[in-house]
Amino acid sequence: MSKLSRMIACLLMAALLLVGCGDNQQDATLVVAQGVDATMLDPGMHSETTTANVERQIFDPLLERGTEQEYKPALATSWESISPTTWEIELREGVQFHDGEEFTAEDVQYTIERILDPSKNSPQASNYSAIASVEVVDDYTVLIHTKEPYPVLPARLANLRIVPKHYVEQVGDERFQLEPIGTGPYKFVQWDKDEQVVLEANPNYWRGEPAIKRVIFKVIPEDASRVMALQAGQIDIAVNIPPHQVEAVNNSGKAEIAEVPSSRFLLIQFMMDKGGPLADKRVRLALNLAVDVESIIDNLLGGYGTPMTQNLANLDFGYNPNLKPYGYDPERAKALLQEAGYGDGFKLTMAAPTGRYMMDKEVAEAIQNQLEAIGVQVELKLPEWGVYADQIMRRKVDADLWLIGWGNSLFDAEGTLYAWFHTGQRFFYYHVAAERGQAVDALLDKARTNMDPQQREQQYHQALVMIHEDIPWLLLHQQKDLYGVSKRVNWSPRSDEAIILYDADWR
Amino acid sequence: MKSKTAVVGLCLLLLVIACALLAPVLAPHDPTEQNLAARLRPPAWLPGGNSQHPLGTDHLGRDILSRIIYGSRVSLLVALIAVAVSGVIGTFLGLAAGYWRGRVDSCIMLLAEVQMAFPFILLALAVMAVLGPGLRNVIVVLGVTGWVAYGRLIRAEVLSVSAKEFVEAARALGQKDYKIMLRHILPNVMPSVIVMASLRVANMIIAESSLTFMGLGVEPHIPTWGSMLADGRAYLTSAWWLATFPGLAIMLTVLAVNLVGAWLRDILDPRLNNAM
Amino acid sequence: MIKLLRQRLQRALLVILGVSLFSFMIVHLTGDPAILMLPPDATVEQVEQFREAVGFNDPLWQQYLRWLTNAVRGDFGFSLRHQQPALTLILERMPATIELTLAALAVSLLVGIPLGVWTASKRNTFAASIGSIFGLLGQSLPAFWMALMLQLFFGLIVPIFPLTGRGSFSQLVMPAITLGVYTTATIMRLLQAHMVEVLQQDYIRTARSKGLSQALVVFKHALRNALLPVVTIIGLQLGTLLGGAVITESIFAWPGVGRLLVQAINNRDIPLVQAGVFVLAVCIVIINLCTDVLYTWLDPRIRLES
Repeated sequence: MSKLSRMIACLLMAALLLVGCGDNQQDATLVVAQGVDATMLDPGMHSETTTANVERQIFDPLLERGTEQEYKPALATSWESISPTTWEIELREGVQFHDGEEFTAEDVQYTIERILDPSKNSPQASNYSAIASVEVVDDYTVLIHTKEPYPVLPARLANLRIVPKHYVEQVGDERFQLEPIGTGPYKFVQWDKDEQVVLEANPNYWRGEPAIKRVIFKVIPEDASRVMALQAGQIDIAVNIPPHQVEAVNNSGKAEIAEVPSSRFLLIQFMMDKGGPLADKRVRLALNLAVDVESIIDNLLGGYGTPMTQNLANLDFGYNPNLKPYGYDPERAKALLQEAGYGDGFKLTMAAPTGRYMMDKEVAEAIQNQLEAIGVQVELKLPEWGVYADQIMRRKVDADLWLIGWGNSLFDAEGTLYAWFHTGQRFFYYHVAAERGQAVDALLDKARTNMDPQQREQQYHQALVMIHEDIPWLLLHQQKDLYGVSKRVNWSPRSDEAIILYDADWR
Repeated sequence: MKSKTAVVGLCLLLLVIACALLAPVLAPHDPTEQNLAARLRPPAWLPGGNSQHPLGTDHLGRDILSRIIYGSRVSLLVALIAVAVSGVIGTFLGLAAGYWRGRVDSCIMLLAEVQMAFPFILLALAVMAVLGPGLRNVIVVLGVTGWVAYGRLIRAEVLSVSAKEFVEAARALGQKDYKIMLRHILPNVMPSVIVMASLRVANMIIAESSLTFMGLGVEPHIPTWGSMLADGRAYLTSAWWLATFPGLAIMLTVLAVNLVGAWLRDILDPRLNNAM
Repeated sequence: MIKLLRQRLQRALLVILGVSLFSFMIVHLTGDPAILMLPPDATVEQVEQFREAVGFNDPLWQQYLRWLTNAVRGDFGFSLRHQQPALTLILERMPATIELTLAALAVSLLVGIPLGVWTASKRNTFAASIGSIFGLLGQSLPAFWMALMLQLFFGLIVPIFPLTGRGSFSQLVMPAITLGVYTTATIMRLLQAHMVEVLQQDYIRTARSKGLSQALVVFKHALRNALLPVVTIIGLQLGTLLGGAVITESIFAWPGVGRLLVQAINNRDIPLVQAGVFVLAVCIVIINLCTDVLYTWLDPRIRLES
């Protein structure tokens, strides 16, 4: 019988030996790890940050947003408002797509019209709905006509990455999103679904060849696994490091944490459509006073956040620096509830996503607990992100309070305030006295089409003061994004969650 | 040997049942009470732990031991009701198929085969996704999809029982079908039903915790072993106790159920030994 | 034999028909499939247009027939999220799932068979009871917890294996063990029971009395006879493994069909869920059919009966 035991032992040894031969990373390759795979590599047909981070290496936008939210030329060399509703865009000459074809005005026109084409069902269509038409003047000049004066057009164009008309028409949308070509610093090589996307440097890039020659975007869904891979030196950039893992990364010797204030912030929206306790401003204030945002930031987020005062990030155009948080005062909250006739408490439902934003579920559970301390019973629902996003977009969230992490890709109040506080818009829950609502509407309408930046900013500031007084929200925090970055790489994160590898270099 | 392990199983099972029934008495803390300042405390025997939280605290500073004690309620409740529901459906369909045979049998068995073609957990996830999460829906899904095991077993039993003389005699006397089934056949197949049910309880406990772990199970505010595991997963590197203890609880409970089930099988229905 | 084969084939087709009906019905459980299938910001008019275009206003049986005819042609519609044909997405990920399933099967055979033999031949000893407890434990472990514990011990504390992903052999080890543990325990217990029975038979006693070594007796004479029931459950276990891969793949980020489907379920990507559920179910029906036929062919008793 001992023979048998020996056989088993031999088998086990053999298995272990096989395991010993691990795989080696190619040293010249930079590996970026994100939580989910890209859904496609077509810049016009999706609206997801993780997908954008892969395809933005392959394509170029018309303008580029600098780290100070200023705009710099990219495929466009100049942009100018030549009449209230017309912008003239001059394009860069001599830029080639990866197949050697010249980039021209036709491509710009095609890119925009393709997104706006209703039959293509692009989720970005509403971003560009202000555009009435695109006119090709010559190979390197286009005119963009807007339906109304549209001051934020440059911000939109910074998110618009140009696709090659000739290639898309030749191969069709379905193949294009799998094997894209663009003008960008990296060329598409290979995509193993749910595993990795491989890119290589474009030697003919118009800004010069990128310093890093080969790039892989890997999919590692678990936060813990991304941290492990960083510690083991298997990856170079990892997104969304949870606060409780910061120490593990910094102690690894291989990588360190890079933090950046995010343009994203968390708040809880009050469902004010239905009346009930939330129709009473005292109740809304009480709920704000009951939540200890500082404690949530210190304990759950490891200090990586700042309390919010409005639903804009401090990087956004129109942010009003004079507003203050409502503060934490549970005793006053109880008194306010008493005064409003809810001294015995009441029940609410609250919805929140899980794993979408930093510690989102934990934050929601902590808030549930803190609200219960002032006598408000909260039933928490945690739908999966796909469902929840759907409910939010359809305006069908089935809860009195719902947590959302809002990020404004325009870095302009226009992208947020109009949709949330202008009567009849998609996220409008701001039911207040009629004349007050009209006043806010009027301010937002004026600001929206105002081509004078200073006046515009003032109008947003005024609107925000009124909205802040009405307390249509439970304000939480602006988060800091945490990235793990290998010590062999020079790269710094950006507030807009974009990963731009052209700016990275080996140390 | 068997009886010794059965005693161990029985003791464990009684402990779990006691936890479920006496949770408010046994649990040192309110399972939903948070303390953000005392989050992620390790178990008492490790540096940094204290005797207030014998198994430590979770990411919101809740007492893990108390949550495990309360979690036993959901596990047992779901498993018992789901087993009862699927037992009733399965026994009924098995009886019908075995007694009437022919077309009825063929239809019921086709249904069973169709259902067995779907990977169970995938089917449960898809249906939960459509119905929405919640305790009631978990019970419905597990109860309704679990009948096949009983159906096939009972059918086979009935086939052999109904050939016996006393059934023939009852038929010859002109007794109604349902009376024959309930009075003469059912009592004879009951031991198999009980053994099967006891073993299925184990599967149901695992199924419930799997669904909850995948985020498509019981509501989040109810403490359950599955949701504790799901929460603890993110802290595996920094606070291993979050995911380890609830998993141990599931494993020991399932083991206890299996041991007791095996013992029941030996006593009640030795013939089943090879069938499972 | 031919007749039996035809019967089984007919039955399998009938089951597949039932499977298709059920896969089709998943969408209609919720109420309005149009809402599920359109992008979230679709307007009321778009929804109505879509209903008309896709035929959701037709009677249900007509819709089913249309879905079935398309499915037979391999057309399960487009994934909402990936905007590619659902079947393509599934077939792309099939090799990974098959690889994992086979690896798990290999683990269960390589571990389950020796353990079963060993515990049977050492009956009534301490070692055997340890073995039996291992068998019971294997059937009592929730797979997802087992996965986490493996990740904790062999990924973090003693980092031998990568936590997630696919590509190298070392990445296959933990998912294969996780997926295979239940089947390992099943095979072990089954084999143990049969071996004990076989070892008591007369011809084994004879062999022993002839002075043959224990190992020879166990392997050459007893194992051969006890293996038949194991062969027959391998087919069934393959189906179980294929289904169990759903959770294992999600935890280990294994890029297979199961993970794709869990994502599709989370995103309510209904055409993809439908196609995936249907394809996996058909695979299982086919595996069962093959096992059935193989069993009949292996076991002469059944062949004679029919």
